Amino acid sequence: MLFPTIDFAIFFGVVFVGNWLLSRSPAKWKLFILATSYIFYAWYDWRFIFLLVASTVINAAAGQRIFQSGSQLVRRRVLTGAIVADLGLLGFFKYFDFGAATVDNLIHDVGLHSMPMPLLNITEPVGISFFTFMAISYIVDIYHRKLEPSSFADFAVYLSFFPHLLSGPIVRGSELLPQIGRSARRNPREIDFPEAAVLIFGGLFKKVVLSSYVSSAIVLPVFSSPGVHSGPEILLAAYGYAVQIYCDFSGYTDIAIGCALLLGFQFPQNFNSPYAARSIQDFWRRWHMTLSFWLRDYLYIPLGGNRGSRAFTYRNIMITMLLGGLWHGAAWTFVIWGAIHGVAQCAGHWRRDRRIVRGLPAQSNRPAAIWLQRLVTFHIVCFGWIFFDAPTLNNAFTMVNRLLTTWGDPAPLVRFPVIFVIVFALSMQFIPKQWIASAKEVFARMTVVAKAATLAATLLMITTLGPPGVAPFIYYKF
Amino acid sequence: MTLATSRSRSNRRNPRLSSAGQILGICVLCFGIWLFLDARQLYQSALTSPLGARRTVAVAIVHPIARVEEFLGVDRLDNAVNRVTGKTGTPGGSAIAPTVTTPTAPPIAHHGRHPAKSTIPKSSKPPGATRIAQPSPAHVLTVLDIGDSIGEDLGAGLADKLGNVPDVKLINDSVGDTGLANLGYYNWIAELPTQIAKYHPQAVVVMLGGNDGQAFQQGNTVVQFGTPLWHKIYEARVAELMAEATHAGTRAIWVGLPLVGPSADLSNSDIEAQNAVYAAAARANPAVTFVSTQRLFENSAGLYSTYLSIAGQGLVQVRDADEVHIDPPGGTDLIGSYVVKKMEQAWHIKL
Repeated sequence: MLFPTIDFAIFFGVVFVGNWLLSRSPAKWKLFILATSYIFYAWYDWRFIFLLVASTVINAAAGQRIFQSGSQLVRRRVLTGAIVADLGLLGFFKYFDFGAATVDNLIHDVGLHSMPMPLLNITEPVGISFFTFMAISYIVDIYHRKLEPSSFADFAVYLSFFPHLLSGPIVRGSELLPQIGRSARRNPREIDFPEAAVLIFGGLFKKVVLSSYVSSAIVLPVFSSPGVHSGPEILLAAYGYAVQIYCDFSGYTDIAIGCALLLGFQFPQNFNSPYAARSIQDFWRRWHMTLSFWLRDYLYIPLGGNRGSRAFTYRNIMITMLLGGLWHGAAWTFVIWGAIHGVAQCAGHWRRDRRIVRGLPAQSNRPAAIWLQRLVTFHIVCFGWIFFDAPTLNNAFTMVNRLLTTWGDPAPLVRFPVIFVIVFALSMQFIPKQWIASAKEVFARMTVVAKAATLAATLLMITTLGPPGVAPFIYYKF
Repeated sequence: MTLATSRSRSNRRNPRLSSAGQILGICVLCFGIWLFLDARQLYQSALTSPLGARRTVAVAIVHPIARVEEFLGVDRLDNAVNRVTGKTGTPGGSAIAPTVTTPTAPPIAHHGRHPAKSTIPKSSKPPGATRIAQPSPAHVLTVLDIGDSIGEDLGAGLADKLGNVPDVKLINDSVGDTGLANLGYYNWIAELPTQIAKYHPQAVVVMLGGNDGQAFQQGNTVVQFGTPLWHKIYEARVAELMAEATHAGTRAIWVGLPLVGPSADLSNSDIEAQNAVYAAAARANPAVTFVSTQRLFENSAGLYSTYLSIAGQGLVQVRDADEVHIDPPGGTDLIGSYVVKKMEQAWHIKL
C-alpha cells in the first residue's frame, strides 16, 4: 500500500479514528495498531509477516535476556547471537543471490569452469533493512544500559508501527518506546495539524510532482541508455537524479513523520536541506539522518571512531561508508557509491586537519567560500549518484565516460522545463525556515472551511501536475 | 477551572493545536472538494483497474461526480493545465511522448507540444507491402515499437542495439499498463493507425499482453479471463491489431511474452496460452512474424531465473525484482539482440 494512493487514505482514515477512540485504553490501542500495521505490511505480500514476527520475537526475547542476566559473558553472547540472527535474515533475503552471482563470476573470470552457484531467486521483503536496524539498535542500547526492555506488546508495536515500517525513518527504541509507553497520555485535542499538513502535502508534492517529472523527463531515459546520450544530457540527468531521490525519499519520510504526528507520535527529522551541505561530512549530517546517526553510533564508534591515528580513523570511515553503501542494495554500484563518499569524507578530514595545523579555521566561512564548498560537495554527491542509480557498473562507467567526452553531441533532452524544475527543487533547500514557520501560522489561523479548501487546492495541484499512476518510492526497495 | 476549560483555553491560546475531530472534519471536507474538482481524472484512473467489485464501486462513485463536473465546466481547468504542461493524458504513468532513437536525428518532441522538425522527407511513402529494403541513406528503415511496460523494456533493448545503426530510426511508443483486454483505458487498435500515419514506419514491433490476464466488458457482459468466449474475443482483437499493423504495407514482428517467476502476478500457463494466440494469429497474417521469447529467459533447468549465465559475461541479472519485467541492461540487451536478429532473419536484411 503506497502512501500517495486512495487505498492508503482510506486505511489511514480508519486508523486515525481508531487510534484516538482507543487512546485511553492502552491494551486495546496496542492491539489495534499492531493489527493495522500488520495489515499494512501484508498488503505487499502476506508471507513477509512471518519475517516481521520472527524478528520481533527474537529481539524482544534477546532484550529481556540481556537485561536480566547478571553475567557479562551471557549478555555478550545473547547480544552477538541476536545480531547474527538479525543480520543473517537480512543477509539471506537481500544478499544471497548477489553473493552467489558474484562468486560465480569471479570463478568464471579466473578461468575456472565450475558448477554454477545455486541461485534461489529470493524475493526481498520490503522494509527489511529498516526494521532490522531498528531491532539491532534496541538490543544494543539495552546491552549498554541506555534503555530498559519494554513489554513484548510495546516492542511489537515499536518494530511494526506502519508509518516507519517500509522506508524509515530508523527510529530508535529510546525515541519511540517511551512514547508508546505513554500512549494513553496523548491528548486528542492537541495535535499540531499545520505541521502534519505541511509535512504530508509537501511530501506528496515532492514525490508525485517533482520526483516523477524529473524521473520520466531526464533520469530514466539517460540512465537506462547512457550510450545514446551526450555529456550535457548525462550531467543534467545526474542533477536530475539528485532531485529525484531527494524529493522521493524526503517526500516519503515527510509523509511518514506527518502521519505519525497525526497519531500523536514524534518521529525524528530525517533530512535537513542536504544539498546545502558544505562538505561530505556535513552532507551526512543532513541526508537520511537516522541512518547516518545509526551508522555512526552502532558501527563507526564501536570500530573506534576517530579515537586513534589518522589512518585508523580513515579505515573506520571507509568501512562504515562501504557497509552503508551495501545496505542500500546488493550490487557493486552501491559499494562504489559508498566508497566515493568514504574517500570524500577522508579527504575532507585531511583537509580540515591541515587547515587547523596551519592555524586556520576548519573551513573558511567567507560567503564566496561557503558557496564554493556547497558547489563542490553537491557535485561530489551527484557523481556518487551516477553509481547509485546505474543498473550496472558498466552503465555507470559509460555515463562517466560520455560525461567527459561527448559535450559536442546533440542534447535534445536538455530542455527548459526540466532545467527549471531541477533548479526549483534545488532552490527549495534554501527556503528560510522562518517562511515555512510563517506559512504554518497562517494556515493555523484559517477557519475549518478555509483549511479544507487550501488542502483540497493543494491536492488538486498535485494530482493535476503529477503523472497518472503511482510509481513506488525509491527507498522502499531497500 | 475544569480540565476541559483549561484545555479549551490552551487551544485558544495556541491556534496550532487542533482536535482529532476537527482534523477529521477538515480532511473529509478536503477530500470531498478534491473529489468534485478532480473527478474526471479519478474516473479515468478507476477505468484502468481490472474488472471487479473495486472497480465497480469506484466507477459508481466517481462517474456521476465526473459528469456533474463536466456539466458545470469545472474540468476545463484540468484540460487547460494539461495543455500547458504538455500532458496528453496518455495513461500508463508517463507524461512523455514517444522517443525516437536515430544516430542522425534528434528525438521527436512530445505529443501536443512543439514537434521537432521531422527528418522524413514529406514525399516519402511506405514501401511495398511485404519487402523491407536493406537500410541505406535512400531507404531509412523506420521501426515503430509499441506495447505495454514489457514493451518498454524491449524498446530500451532495441534502442541500445539500433541506436548506432546507420539509416535506422526507432520510435519507442510503448505505454505502460496497456494491452488488448481493457480497450476502454487505452485502445491500441484505434491508436496504432494514428501512429502509423504519423511516422510511416516500414516495420512495427509489438510486445504486449502482460496486462491482459483480466476480464473485460463486452457490451453489458463481463467476459471472465480464460473462458472460451474470452479467448475468442481476445484472438479477434489480436488479429485486428495485426491487421492494423500491416494494412499500410508494413511488416510486423510480434514478440511473445517471456516466462515469469513464481512470485509474479501472472502465471506461466496463462502466458503460454496468450503466446499461443499470438503465434496462431501471426500464422494467419503473412506480413507478421511471431518471435517467441519463452526459452530466451530460461535457465539450464528450463525454469525462470532472475540471473542467467550469458556467454562471455558470466551471471547477469536479466529480470526485475517483480519477476515480470526485464532488467536493464542485462535483460534488455539480451532481448534486444535477440529480436534484432529475428528482424534480420524475417526481413532478409543486415542491421
